[in-house]
Amino acid sequence: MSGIDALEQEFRREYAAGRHPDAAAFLERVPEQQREELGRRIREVLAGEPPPDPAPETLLMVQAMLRGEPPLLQLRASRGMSRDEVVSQLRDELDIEPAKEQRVAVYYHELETGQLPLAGIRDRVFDAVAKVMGVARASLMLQGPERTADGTAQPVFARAEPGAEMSLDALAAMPGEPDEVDDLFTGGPG
Amino acid sequence: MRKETTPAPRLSGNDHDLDTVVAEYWEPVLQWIRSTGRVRSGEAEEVRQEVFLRVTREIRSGMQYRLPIGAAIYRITNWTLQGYVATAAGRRERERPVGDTPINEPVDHGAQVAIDQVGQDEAVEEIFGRLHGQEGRLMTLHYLEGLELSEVAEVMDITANNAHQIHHRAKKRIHQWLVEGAT
Repeated sequence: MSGIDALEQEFRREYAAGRHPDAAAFLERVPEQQREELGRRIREVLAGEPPPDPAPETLLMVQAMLRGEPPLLQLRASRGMSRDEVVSQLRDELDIEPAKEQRVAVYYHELETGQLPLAGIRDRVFDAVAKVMGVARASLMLQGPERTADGTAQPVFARAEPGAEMSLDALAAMPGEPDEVDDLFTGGPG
Repeated sequence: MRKETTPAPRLSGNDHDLDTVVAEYWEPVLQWIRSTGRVRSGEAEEVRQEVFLRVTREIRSGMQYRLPIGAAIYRITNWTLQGYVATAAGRRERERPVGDTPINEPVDHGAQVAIDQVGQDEAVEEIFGRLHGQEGRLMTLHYLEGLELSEVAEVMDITANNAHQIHHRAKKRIHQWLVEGAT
């Protein structure tokens, strides 16, 4: 069995067992010239196997999205976590110095309320948010501004969390020059 | 042209169906997008968002998919991905007839069946991709997703008469491209 065959079988087993295999991670395990073929086989698996039962948190986020509410906010509420708690853990996970926590708070607020373009967010942030929320990376439902026909971005959510307005301290903490925090939330993809 | 004679199951569009469909395919669609290797993580999230915004709109409007729902979602994913990649790279080059208003919609140009003289999947995809946005959308819904023109009119929020006019214009344009060699 070739390496690519073995990886296909491994993906199939993982997917069938509901263990949320990451397709991109599988692609990285083969030489570049084999990635297209492995990707094609993974798509065949996805199209041929019944989708796994959604996790409870996925259902929760889907229902929020369909109501036009921020799914990440609903997930956080279901976890009984305050925004400050999430931001603090996120800062830890991202290895950002405590002095910049207010900056992280500003970006997290934008992320939670669907105002932050997802393509600009670094992979590390997605991983960290999933870890803090205790969900599989692929199950995490994040929504950014919806791109309209003319390419401009419109927030998906017109309503923000009640009481989630930025404090003057948070606004004052926004620096004039981009730094590592800006890069994490706007420097992506990648 | 090949069209289904038996009616496809119509999704009710109620929130229970929508919950189930979106939740079941939420993760597989992301895996599908990432397996192409064509976009990075955050971009894959954006493509997934576009896919499900569209699926949500369509199911709520009572869209009748000719394919099983899973196949329809993966097909929509492919179209959305193509449009996203082309837009992101600044490589979308769509033919715009003189006098028509450009519409920068995602390229909805999948293909699965023969259509009139066009024939091959890739050819249909290419042809529909070259059409004006409204025309491409209408032809996709009519020929590839099996909706009657009256249903297409509802989905596109246009009058039935307008749908027939757009259909006529699109067919004429395709005919010019294929038979008369116009560009």
